[in-house]
Amino acid sequence: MAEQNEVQKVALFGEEINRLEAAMEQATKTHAVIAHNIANANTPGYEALKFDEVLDQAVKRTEKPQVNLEEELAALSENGLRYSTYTKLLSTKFNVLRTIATQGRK
Amino acid sequence: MALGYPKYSIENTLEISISGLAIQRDKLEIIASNLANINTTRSISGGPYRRKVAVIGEQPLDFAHELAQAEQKIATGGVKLIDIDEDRTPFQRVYNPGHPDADSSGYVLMPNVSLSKEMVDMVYTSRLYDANITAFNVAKKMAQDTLQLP
Repeated sequence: MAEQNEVQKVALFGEEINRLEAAMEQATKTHAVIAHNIANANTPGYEALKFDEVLDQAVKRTEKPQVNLEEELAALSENGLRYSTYTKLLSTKFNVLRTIATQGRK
Repeated sequence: MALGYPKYSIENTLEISISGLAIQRDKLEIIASNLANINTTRSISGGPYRRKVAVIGEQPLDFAHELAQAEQKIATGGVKLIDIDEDRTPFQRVYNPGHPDADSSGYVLMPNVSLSKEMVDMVYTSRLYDANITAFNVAKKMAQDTLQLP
């Protein structure tokens, strides 16, 4: 039943919404990794974490012995901007759908 | 849709930054205690005051076991204060024969607190606090962006 709903959602609103949702989820995870690195910037023996680009999901430890605070903050703002891009795109998509839904009667 | 692990939430990333903030605040507290006791020659345990050091550890970040951790209310990711330990560097020996705690040859054992070291630590800790606030604000902005979706 739930699976059927999922299929109908895709058919009705297009795949962009699902893709954007997945992208936002990914950005949230990236943010968690960066926030974790910043929180542990001064933890002895801590090695910075980063997302594996190839696997995209896995978190691995880098070779660097310490957290580079500047690098982390740069990644932080980049990821934040990426996230707000996704929300803007999603918002545009919703606006288009609203126009379709409300202007049809004219 | 199969029930996979729950989606990672922005609230959790806020928790990570909050743990970072808490640690920096604890460290500032310890620095304040060290500075206040920079001339203390009689501590509770007897002898001069020993410089306190925060022992901090990582709270592992694990996306795969979120459900189990949420049920047990264990925070995923961040940092935690393990212990407040003592600095093992030797005390400073200062010649001050008039001091009530001076030994027979006129030397007083003073705490192993270095003013410059504490000040540098304080500035660094306060910068780290700022960095955690920045991470927190970015997560907040992300949550606000999501809530403002029409």
